[in-house]
Amino acid sequence: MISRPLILTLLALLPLAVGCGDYQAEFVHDERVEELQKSSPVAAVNVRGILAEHFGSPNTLVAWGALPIDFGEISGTVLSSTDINTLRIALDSDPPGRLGRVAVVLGTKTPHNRLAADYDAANRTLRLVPQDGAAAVAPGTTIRLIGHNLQAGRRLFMQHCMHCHGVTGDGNGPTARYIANHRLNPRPRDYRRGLFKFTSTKNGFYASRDDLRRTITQGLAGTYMPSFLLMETEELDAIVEYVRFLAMRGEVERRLLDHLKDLMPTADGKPPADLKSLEKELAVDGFAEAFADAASLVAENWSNAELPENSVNPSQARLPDTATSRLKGRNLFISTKINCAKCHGEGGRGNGAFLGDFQKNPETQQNYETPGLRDAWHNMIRPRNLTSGVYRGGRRPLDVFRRVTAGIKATPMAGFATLPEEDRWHLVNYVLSIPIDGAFFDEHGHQYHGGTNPHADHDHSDGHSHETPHATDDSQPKDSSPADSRTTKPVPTKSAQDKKTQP
Amino acid sequence: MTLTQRTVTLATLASLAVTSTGLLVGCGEGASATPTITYKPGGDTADTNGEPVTQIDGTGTLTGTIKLVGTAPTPTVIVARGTAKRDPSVCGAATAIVDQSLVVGTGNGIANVFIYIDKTPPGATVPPVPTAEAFFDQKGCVFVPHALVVRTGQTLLIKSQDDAGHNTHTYPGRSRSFNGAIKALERDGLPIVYNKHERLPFPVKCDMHTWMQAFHLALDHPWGTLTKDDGSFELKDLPATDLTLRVWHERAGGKGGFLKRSLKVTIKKGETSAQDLEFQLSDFGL
Repeated sequence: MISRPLILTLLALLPLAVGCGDYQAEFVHDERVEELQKSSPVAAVNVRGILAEHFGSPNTLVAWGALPIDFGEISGTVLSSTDINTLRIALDSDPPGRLGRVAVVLGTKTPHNRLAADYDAANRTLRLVPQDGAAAVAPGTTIRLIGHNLQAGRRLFMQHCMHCHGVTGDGNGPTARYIANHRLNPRPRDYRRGLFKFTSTKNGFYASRDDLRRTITQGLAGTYMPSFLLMETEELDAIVEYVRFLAMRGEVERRLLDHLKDLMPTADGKPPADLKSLEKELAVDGFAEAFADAASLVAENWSNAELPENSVNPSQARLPDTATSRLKGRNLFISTKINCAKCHGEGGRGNGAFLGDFQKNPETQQNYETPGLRDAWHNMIRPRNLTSGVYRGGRRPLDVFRRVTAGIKATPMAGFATLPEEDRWHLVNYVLSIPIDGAFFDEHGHQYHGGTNPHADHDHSDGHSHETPHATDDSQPKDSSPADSRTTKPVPTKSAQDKKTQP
Repeated sequence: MTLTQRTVTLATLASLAVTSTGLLVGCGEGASATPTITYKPGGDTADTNGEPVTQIDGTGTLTGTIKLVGTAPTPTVIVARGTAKRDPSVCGAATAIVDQSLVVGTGNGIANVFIYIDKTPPGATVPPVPTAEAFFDQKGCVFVPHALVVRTGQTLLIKSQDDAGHNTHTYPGRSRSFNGAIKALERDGLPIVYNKHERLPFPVKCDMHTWMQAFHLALDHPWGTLTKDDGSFELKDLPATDLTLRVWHERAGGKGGFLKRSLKVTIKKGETSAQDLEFQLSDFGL
């Protein structure tokens, strides 16, 4: 019989035995690389190789200058060299920390790349990692230390983000499976399409750095994405750059695999008929060009997101939040001319009629197996329940204005930039009023929350009364049912309703 | 405290101490170790070979017909007249909505086949982008036309003849995507531009009316067209040289793809060459 103390001791020792192993984080390839391996090993090897060459692995990252990423760079001049691996240098700005293991680029015409071991700021001494065939460095040589920001981003990402978003940024970290099973919450974002939902940019444009920073500091309300408001600015900046790095890596891989699509096994699992000629065309002769094209597209898209002209900014301030404005918003909301209510429901509960329709998968042209709206990752998504007061992309009026104007990227939520700006503000005023005052308007232009006694919850001190009974709540999905004319017929806008004061 | 209890307590304390040591020693650096950064300069794009490109002299025309061998399946009625689940007063109100994914017309000609040059041949002179707008409309909750070729950078006006809201959601491969609401009876047209050359036609959807689907192709040259209802096509002013054309259809292989990946043709200056193609039902996954 084993004694209890022994069991306890063994249990206590278990963590030591399990230990850390030889844990080496690696970027996971898109699953299509495995598929490609079956029909065209050459192509699969080339994909792995070119990605490793330009992006590296989590422990040996490549700062590739073709990408619009702030890797962190400090330049300076070599003052003298004690030996081939020890330099005294003058830097143009103060380095953050020890600068260990960042890239060192010496000279300009024929630059010579080394790796920093560490930097002693007090003595301005940079030690380099010994390297075969390294040349002596003359005083006066320019020096660039590259990558401290990427390095910090990687380190922080592994501490704070990887659990959900995965080492690769594929949204498939160890915790993700538990979130994915939870129907009410979205999966962690898979960065590899370059698509982020909540942005300040126009329809079709990527997320700006500020957008990612806002998501990280504020979190996404109503989801598992928490707020990291307590991080230092430099830490946030480093994480933002690393997220962009992972997104760019993933999208370049994705585009490269799209280019190689015709080399994938056919439906019966066999290689394509004309494999050899296709392989030569796509995976050999045209491969470098396709990679360069993918990278330049991705770089351009991320750069464009930073340009001020591509962000959504109203030309006029928010219109006063009056009853008239809300009512105009309500009438737009239920109008079949723009169809907000068809997704969000007439009562704003996110239960509109369109949820009952089968959407087509744009990649296969076949209907999805179940009805409902889908995002670009083919996940089932719900339109926002506007009665809850929880807005994932932010609750400032500007946030809602941007959502209405540019839509939500990678989802069926379209941009309504075609509406006049004042109409979009009316919609904002109405949408923001729903959780407090209700989605419905009665014939007097008063808001209420629906239900059997719609008038119980508002002010009757002006002496008005209601003679007509009201229909029931809209908690079930339904189409614009003609039976419920109350909710489908726009309520006339009367200026007299403006007297109602708003919170 | 009995002896046994004391032993247990001591053992627990000892093991806790050992565990804490383990935690303090930690797991080495592991995943949070400082990664090594290496630098790779940008601008190492595919080097252009320095050979001078000779200008292609003259242009020619290619015509032809694309036909189906066998009996075309009867197109499925998606929404019978007056029975639309959504916006029934508009969608399919005048005529039934019929599946347009394989339109076979007179003489078994296949409509809406994309025929285009993927990459501009070296030495070809590319005419400027037309200043005239292209149009994309919707009528009775059907996109008109069902298939469209435009130039990169050309303004495409999205219109609607329907008294119901729509959204136009594009899925281009290289250009910026677009998902914008189109107001009821939008006659001015909402302008969009495909900013990049596309290698393949791509779907365009309306999320509000899920049967609505069309295909667009944006090219940075004018050498792309569609077959008409009788399956005929004509490509004018093609550079007079050896060309490789793509022949693409939304039902090829069942889910969209090349009917012919590389159609080699030789265009001679001032001449018209003909190229007729036939495809089997099995080419469409039927």
